[in-house]
Amino acid sequence: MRLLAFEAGAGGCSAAVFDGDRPPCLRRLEGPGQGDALIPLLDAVLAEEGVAKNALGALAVCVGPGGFTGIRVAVAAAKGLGLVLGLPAFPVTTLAATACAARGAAGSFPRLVAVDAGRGTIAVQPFGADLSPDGPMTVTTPGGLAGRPDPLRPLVFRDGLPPDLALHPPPLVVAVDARHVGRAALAAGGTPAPTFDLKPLYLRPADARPSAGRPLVDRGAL
Amino acid sequence: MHAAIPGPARRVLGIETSCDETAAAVVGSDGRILAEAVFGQEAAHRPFGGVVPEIAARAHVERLDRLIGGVIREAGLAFADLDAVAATAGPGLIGGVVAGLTTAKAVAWAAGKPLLAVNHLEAHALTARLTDGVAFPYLLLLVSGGHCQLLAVEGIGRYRRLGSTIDDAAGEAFDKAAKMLGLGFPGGPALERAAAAGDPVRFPLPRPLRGQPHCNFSFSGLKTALRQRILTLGPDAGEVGTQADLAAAFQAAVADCLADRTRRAARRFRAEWGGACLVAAGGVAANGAVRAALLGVAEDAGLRLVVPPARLCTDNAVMVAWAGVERLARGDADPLDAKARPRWPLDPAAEPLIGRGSSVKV
Repeated sequence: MRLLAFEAGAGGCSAAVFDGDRPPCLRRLEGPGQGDALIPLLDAVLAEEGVAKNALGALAVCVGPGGFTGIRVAVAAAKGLGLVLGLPAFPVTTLAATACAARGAAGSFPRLVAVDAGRGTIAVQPFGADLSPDGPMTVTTPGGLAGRPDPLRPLVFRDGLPPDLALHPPPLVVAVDARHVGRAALAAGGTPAPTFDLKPLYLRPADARPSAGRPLVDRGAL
Repeated sequence: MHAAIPGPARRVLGIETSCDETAAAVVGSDGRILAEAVFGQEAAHRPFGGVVPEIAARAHVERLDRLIGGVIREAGLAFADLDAVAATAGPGLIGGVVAGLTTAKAVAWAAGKPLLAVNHLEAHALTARLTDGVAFPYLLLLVSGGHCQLLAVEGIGRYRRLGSTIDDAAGEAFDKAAKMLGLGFPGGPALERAAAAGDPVRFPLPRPLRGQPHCNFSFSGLKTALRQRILTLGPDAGEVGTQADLAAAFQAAVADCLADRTRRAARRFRAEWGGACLVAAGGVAANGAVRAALLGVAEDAGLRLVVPPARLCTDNAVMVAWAGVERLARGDADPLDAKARPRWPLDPAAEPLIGRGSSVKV
């Protein structure tokens, strides 16, 4: 199955084509503005690999957790492509992609996989020797992470470690791109789902508080 | 009555996600609306008393693909039958614009069709050409929750701003007044409903900037005057009849201000451009008192008043698709890395006025 994998993280975006047993072809763009550039990047990576859009079998898309704009860009792109090309998609979490990247960096498993989830929080999930999740994703803080070193589950962190996070022993740190998103999708097996069902994975509800104060005219108080 | 663009028949998909309406439509170059759909998010925003950008962005990305699939099916088309994909690229709430524009780019690229990154304000500005075949040049009052300006529309992409608000947009003032009066969200329609039973002269309110030689607007002082009035009345302001009178007074004051500033602009427009139409667009143009006031202005100035139907005045995708039709006919196309723009003035030469207060000289 020919697979087009992509992600739009905080520091840029990347796309990779998986065509049979060939090593995946990767293109990436650094820097902000990933929303503007993702579609031309997909075009470029397919052209480089000589794969036509309508010869694809599925998409693999990183749905988060991550920067809200970036994960929406990736999911919106997947939904638009799925709608027109009739392609299903594998939703891949940032944690599963990070686990794949750790394996590629010769990291042993099982491990506890962690990614910075913004605003002083860290998303963590245990992954087993076969790279499948051993438990649910949870959200913790740098303090919570430092307080529970587990020699049986060494930590792997997606790059972009919070600067104030000093862990002992220091965790393995890996860069994550679309190749890991694609590998995680293929490793998990299963069937890709219709893109209508794709949703970004948010760790926090929308930042909104109910309207402050009461109206000046409060009929209920009369 | 509607416009038709000469040349080969074309069909354009339009996408709108710049505020709290998720919308998609297909419009033909003959001016026919082949399909249109709007998913309003009012219920999701109501508990917060206003549009929450993050809630809007989340809803857009989850709903838009089904909405697009629906209008393509309703139009009896396949994506291959489209001639272009047009999407709002700004101005607006950036999270929603990015979601809609990215979806549009993906659809355009996958279908092998050109992309048109449309200015949301231009889409409002050109709607009267779709509905009434209005010819350039015309005078436009663009009045909504986020915008309040008077423009001479010279052609596609050619606008001269004659005046703009120096503080709040008129729709924003309606929303805030409705909130003060306990009328709920969205405030504009709620305030109009309450005002219908009210006496607009019982509580006199000021008409900021009335009679000034420029064409700018200000609604901040009017809002403060309403607040003072409510505080002075105390609990009596909650009495149903009083509430209706306050709503009617506020609505009349806004309508008067819009009419007075538009009258000034119409004089200048007649002298310098010589067009025949006054067009009102944007959500506030759907307000009956505002329409009635503008009709008087148009008659006095010898202009024909054109106000598109309410569903095409509020945010919608038909107008975006139509702006796409107009731009496609000129041979326009935008690159697939076109940027989403939170700010995108129609007249880039005009200075921003918001926050300039009454020191503004035009």
